[in-house]
Amino acid sequence: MVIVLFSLLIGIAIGILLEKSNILDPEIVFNQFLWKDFTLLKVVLLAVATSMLVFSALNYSDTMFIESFSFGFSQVILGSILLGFGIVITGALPITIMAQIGIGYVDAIFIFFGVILGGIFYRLIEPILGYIEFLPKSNIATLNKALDLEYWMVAPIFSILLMFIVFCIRLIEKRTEKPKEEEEIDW
Amino acid sequence: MDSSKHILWPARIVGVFLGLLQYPIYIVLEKTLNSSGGYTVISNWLLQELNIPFDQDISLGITWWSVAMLAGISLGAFFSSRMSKRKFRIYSGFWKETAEDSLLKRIFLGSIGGFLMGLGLRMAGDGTNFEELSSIAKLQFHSMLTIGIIFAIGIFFTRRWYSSRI
Repeated sequence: MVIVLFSLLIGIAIGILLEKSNILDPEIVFNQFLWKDFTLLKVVLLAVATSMLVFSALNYSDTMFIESFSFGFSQVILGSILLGFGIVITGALPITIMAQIGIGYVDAIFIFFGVILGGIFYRLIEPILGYIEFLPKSNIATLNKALDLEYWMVAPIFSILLMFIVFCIRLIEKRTEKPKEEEEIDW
Repeated sequence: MDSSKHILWPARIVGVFLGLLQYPIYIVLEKTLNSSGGYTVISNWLLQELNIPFDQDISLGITWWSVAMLAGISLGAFFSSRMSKRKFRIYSGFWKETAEDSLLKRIFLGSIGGFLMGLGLRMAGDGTNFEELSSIAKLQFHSMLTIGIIFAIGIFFTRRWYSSRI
């Protein structure tokens, strides 16, 4: 019960962050793909960069073990294509669907039911998915394993690289910035 | 867009806070941020409840905390939008534009898009769940491949399908 309550609280925090950044708006997602608005990319890159630092600290202190498992290229490629089309059609990301429902977008309810049906369909076809494995499985699943290094040695470098990319995006944005309608809190 | 007077937080602040949430999530749950796990749990629970025949050798792994997280995301967005007095809309202006204001078209597009997303999420995770941010942060190759493909499809098809309507 405590774990469920804790998850609920974490979810509320995520919901607030998604609403406050407005990345739950489909227009933000589409404008990202059209390179007109970089809000989504900045949020994702910084969330990944910060996660890398958190995971590195946990991995360095032996609290966290980064799992490495083999994966099938065919299934991952096919799944990514379907996922990509799902995002392009709906303008929603898996994490933003529930936030869209929360702010009252009725259409997000249909997306939600679609996702659930997709999950059920996956379970039904799971036994036959092995037949589409026409590409070999990868035995090395993570970049640090490929480099034969510990996770905490590699991840901070990538984290800094991602932060630098965000910094560059911000610089480009500032040079080409038009007056914004939105009122932003200056942190 | 419905947020012309809506107060937004800078993307950098939101990104950093989302990343920092990984710490309490891992310490308490020994998991990483993964919203798609909740959808999987609901699908699996429905499979069980509706007595739909499926391969019984495959573990369903129903963990309600991930569903609670999904519910929390919804609640958080609701409270936040109410507190900031966000103008209420029942759909995004963008969906109205692309579906030409047809409710049936929006229901169809939403359901099909959601279905592809649900199926794709499971396949992209190769049977587990595609953990979005967390699996890229773990430097897992399959997630980097997935993000690359999503962006390629997004850039190519958004330009072809929607650029004239935005």
